[in-house]
Amino acid sequence: MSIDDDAPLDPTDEPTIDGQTVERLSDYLDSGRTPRDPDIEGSAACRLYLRSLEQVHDLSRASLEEAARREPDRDGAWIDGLLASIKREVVGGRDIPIHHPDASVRLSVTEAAARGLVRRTGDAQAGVVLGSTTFDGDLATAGAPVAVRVTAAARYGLDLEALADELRARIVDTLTRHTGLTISHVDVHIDDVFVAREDDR
Amino acid sequence: MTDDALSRDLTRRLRDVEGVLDVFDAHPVVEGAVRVVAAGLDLAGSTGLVRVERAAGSVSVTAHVATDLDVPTPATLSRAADALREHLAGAGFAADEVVVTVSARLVDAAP
Repeated sequence: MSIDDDAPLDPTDEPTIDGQTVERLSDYLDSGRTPRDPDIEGSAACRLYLRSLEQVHDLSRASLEEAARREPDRDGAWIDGLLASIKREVVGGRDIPIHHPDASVRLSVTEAAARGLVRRTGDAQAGVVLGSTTFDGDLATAGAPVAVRVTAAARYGLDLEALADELRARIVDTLTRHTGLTISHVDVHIDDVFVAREDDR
Repeated sequence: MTDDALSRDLTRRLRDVEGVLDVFDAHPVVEGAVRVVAAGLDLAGSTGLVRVERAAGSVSVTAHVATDLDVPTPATLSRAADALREHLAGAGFAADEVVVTVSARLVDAAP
């Protein structure tokens, strides 16, 4: 699994996710993921990227399109930043060990899978588009306290304190359920606000 | 039984485990590509996705899986490891010869 964030010097040297360009992945998503591409579907990183991209499309399209119409330069940059963040997050990263009583059994969840869970959780909350996720702490030691930092955009008009509290609770719940991490705290940084259209959630 | 055949059997076994949605190739990238080409040439069927490594007196198997969002991932991984160990025991490996590694690379909603 590999990713290269360096700016390409040559169009044929575009950064890839497990050998797939982001343009190819975007086209594949637009085609409804048919015909099935086994190289893409067989890559956890590509699948994470597709799922995140799909969530961005499905959950926030109306708001983002409205925002882009009002302020095309600012919101184009915001969307580009969001996609770049997603691209960075889908690589494997560290392994989060899952306890098992038998020493000859080693179980783990990758950091990328955990970040994917956080993104899914955030995007499932009405009025939230998750930006980025960072884990601070010793992920490789079971039981060690880990802090989670997320950035997000919030729908204009919502109570940001209540929104952040709900997001914290959801993130702790999903990470505890699926990774067993000991979450010391979750920092939520609302770094943008979008205006919803009537057909948006 | 060859390592390739064992890998294929273990891959099939994993796909039947509750909470496992998919199995990813656990072989290093270059080795995985070579195996895909080789499998295409001999038409022997799909390559196994579980990595099997043998050393003197032991066998190590490594699996990368996608797990179901609706099922706690630790429980799914534990069931997957049990299934692999059970299959290896049936293939004649003693429990103290076996090391099993299972990693969740993706947690997703079931289709």
